[in-house]
Amino acid sequence: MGVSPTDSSSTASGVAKATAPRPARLQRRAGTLAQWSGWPFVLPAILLLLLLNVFPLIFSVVMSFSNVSTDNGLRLTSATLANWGQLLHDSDFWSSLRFTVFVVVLAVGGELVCGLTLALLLWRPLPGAGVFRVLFTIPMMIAPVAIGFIFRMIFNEQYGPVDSILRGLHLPTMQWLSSTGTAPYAVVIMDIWQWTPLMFLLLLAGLQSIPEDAMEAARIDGASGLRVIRDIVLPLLAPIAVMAVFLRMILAFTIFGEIYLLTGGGPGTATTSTTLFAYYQGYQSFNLSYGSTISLALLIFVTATGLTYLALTRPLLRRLRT
Amino acid sequence: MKSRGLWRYIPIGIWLVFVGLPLWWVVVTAFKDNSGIYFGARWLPWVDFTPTTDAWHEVLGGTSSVIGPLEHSLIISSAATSVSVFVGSLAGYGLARSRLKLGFLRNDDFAFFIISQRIMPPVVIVLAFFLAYKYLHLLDSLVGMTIIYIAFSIPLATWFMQSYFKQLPVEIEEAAYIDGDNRLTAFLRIAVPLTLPGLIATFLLTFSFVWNEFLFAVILTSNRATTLPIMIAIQQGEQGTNWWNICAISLISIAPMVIVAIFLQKRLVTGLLGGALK
Amino acid sequence: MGMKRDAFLKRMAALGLGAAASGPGLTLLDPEKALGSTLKLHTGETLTVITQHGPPIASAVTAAQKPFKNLTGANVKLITAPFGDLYTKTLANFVTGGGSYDVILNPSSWLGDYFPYLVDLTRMIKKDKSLKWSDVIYQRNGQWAGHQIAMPIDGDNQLMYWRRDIMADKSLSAAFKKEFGKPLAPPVTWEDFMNIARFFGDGKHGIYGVAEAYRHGGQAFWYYMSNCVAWVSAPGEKGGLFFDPANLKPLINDPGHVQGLKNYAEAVKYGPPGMINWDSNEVRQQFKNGATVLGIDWDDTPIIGELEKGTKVHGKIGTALLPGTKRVWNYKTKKWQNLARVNRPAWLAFGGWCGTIPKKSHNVELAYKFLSFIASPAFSLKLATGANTGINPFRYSHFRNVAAWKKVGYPQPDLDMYLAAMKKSDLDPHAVQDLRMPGAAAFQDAVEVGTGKAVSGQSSPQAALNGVASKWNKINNQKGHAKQLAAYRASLNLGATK
Repeated sequence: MGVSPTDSSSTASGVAKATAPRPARLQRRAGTLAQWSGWPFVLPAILLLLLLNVFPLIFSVVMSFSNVSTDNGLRLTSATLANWGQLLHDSDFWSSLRFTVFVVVLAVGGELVCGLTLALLLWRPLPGAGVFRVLFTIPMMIAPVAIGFIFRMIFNEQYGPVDSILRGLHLPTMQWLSSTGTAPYAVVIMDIWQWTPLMFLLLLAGLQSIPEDAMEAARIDGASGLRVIRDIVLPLLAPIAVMAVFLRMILAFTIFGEIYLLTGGGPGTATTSTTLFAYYQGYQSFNLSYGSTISLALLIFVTATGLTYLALTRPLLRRLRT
Repeated sequence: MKSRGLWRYIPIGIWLVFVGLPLWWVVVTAFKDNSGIYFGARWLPWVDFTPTTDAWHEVLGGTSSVIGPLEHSLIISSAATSVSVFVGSLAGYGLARSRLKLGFLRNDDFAFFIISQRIMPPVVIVLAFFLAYKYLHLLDSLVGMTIIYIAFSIPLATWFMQSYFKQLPVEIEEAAYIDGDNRLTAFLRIAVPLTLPGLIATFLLTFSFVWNEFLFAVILTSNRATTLPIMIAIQQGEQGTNWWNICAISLISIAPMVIVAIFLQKRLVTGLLGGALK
Repeated sequence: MGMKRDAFLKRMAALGLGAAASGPGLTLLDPEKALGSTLKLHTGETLTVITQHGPPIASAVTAAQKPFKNLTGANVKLITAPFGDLYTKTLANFVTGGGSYDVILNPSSWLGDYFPYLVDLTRMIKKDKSLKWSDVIYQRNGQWAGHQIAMPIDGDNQLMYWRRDIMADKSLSAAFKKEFGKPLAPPVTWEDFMNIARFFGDGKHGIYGVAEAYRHGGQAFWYYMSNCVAWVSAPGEKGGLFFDPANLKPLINDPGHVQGLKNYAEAVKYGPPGMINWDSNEVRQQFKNGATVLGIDWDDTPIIGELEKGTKVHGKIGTALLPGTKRVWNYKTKKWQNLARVNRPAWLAFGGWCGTIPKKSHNVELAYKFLSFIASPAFSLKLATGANTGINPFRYSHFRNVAAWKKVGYPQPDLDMYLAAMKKSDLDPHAVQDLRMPGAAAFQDAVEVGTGKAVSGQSSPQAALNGVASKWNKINNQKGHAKQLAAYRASLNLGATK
């Protein structure tokens, strides 16, 4: 990593600036900035990341371009493009990528909608709001592997509660985890259940930071509640929402533990995410070079997606800031 | 909104059912045994099925005891989170306040470098760590796990703390410099306390990611540094799947965080309110 | 000896052993020598043993810890890993030159990968009289290129189980006869098996048809292969299950295997809902709870079904070899053969867990004594008759000692059927061996993914298996075709190709 964007507004932290007036502050800050170099502060983080992230990354790259032999100790015997060639023709890899994108799009989209709705609902005072907030946050705190197990139980067609409720209501039961058509949706539901709290908290915080005057002005002008939301709240919330989606999207691409416990990637390969695929190939089958290749392909894809997303949302945010 | 908005209870109620049903199921299943599970869905203790505490016996000191893994998770998560939040705060402060220059690279580029590390799927580096730790005898060790979780957590900690520091008006620190503070003491005495809510939020979020992390744990530990998520995953594949143990362990696993969340609930939102993403 | 008779007997009882055998050197107990001198030679030493997370196999080690300590004074430290990780952890230890483990209890199918790193046990076994080597049936699985590199501690075959009470039910039998032309009876051919599965399939008779495992990572590989064995093992031909021993061509996509996959894929509809996600443990639990009429498994199903608390099928389990067929695919002639008699070869699925000693072990002598103890006639009998130790019978004496089985509560006539089936399977001269080649886990994973696609409907059986064959070729090419071919032939105890 180390691609330098062309201007500061495209960086992760710089995209969403506060709505406070800028010029005077910047000048102050510029004055402070000029005075000292903060290397001692930043160096520990940079060095640790170089050592612990970048070196292993380089090692993975090397492994993906090598033949790895395990006959007599671990040896990288020769350089080769064979791993990448295999990857490009591996239909299992591509289907894992398709599934991962499927989950990211639907789940993050769902979390955005649900999280926003909940945040709007709990924004204004309501008796019991504190209790709701705590309860709503709980799913996010549960370990992904536990979530995988829990939903494996919940969706179990034989003795799980969901199908039992459906049967009780004389509705047709679904083959939640045993059909290639529905299992991916089960994963999406599970992810929405687990991660909506994160979106909810971030968006709620964003809502609570919207200055009252803007709201008052609109109301004095006679705007109805819904219009206030559409014209004032959402645009002011947009920067936060953009970054929240970015964060959640990045995390969602690496989905692994929940699925491993929920279905093991099945039925067939219907719910095998790319990280799970890399785990089976690279780790359980001990095919180190291919496992590295798969991981790197995922990295490339996620980076490309992330940068595209930031590029696409930049003009939107710039428009909203004016 | 002028009305009391009591209609809001309806959609909230719907979501509550959506969230609550699985949670209720978990609580109730922790008190079941084989017969309470395999013969159809059972909802209510004493009405549908006879509750037992077998799972809790097994899990608290019995055959699937979580005491060890609980300790490991506590030690590893606390250590890794503390170090990475500290390092991240330092870095965030440096990025927010000072001027960094290396060739044509500026603050924003370094910020991007640090934060973009989080984009890297953990699976990319885990195999390299596996081999490195094998050679360094760090596999299955508390130290080894702490180190990798530090790497894992620094980007997010830096990202959040940088935003909080950017929010702080510079004047207070400037006053401190005039009074003789150097950068470090200004940081520790002024900036950090002012961002306390944000610090807490960052700490909790980082802690929960480490506490629940699975990929690194499953590949880099065996017996001596097992963490709670591994303990949960292991329940698959013994006598069938030990659903009851899983539920019991899950409840134990989220207990610390729920308790903290209840107490710090207001602070948490205030902290995020500080503008984690601004 | 200087010890009174009572004290001697007390000592023997405390050691928890039955009869002791004599022999020099590595023998654990030599009544001809003074007790004091043979015992506790290794006080203060520790042995590190790694195996899969229990109870199966791991509980065998925990059961051995105390008696072994009483005998030798040594501590046995047990490390476990989930089955899916055990291969990687042990292999990674080997390739990084580590000496983390003194003893490994592993599936014999991984011996191809382990071979360069293991101590040759041949001479030690020869000298070990207490082991009673001639009593051991499962010798071949621990051999590689003529060397005994692993100690057999377990036998393994997949068998077929059925509910005797359901089969004996007259009204069900009549209904079955109406639909399929013959009364309900334990299946002899795969057609019988599938018909019974179809009859009970949707549960309308109060019970489901069949219990098999399908889950990726849940040992589905062996369940699929169980469906194939009879179709691809022409009597007299070796190797038909995996590769052509002449040229290492994968046979996994030949018509015999496709037929097996068709049955395997169809059977998923005839179990309780959700069976496509079952691992082998779920199979056992479901059978124990009385969910299905038929089941396929190692001996865990009957042992759990007879002996585990809460079982609904105690005294109702019939055991026999897997079904056979009269139509067999011959990979040499590339044609279907019609046989006069039903071809029903035994399938030594998994090959049995075995004990190996890494060259870098810190204490080879003590490690060997541990393996000798676990495999000893008396202690192994205790393990084989114990529920959920995961240890299947592997000695002739295990089958002879019916009293031991009765003692743990295994009822008749189930017991006779069980012992007979297992013995027949173990002693079958045409028994099909499991795959033992470097890269074993990779081959097995490819099969699980491929068959999973066919079972779930993502691809046709032939297309899925073609994909597996191509993956198998890739693995072999990556590891060196010539090397792999030699290893495959060695595992079948064939000589080098001409």
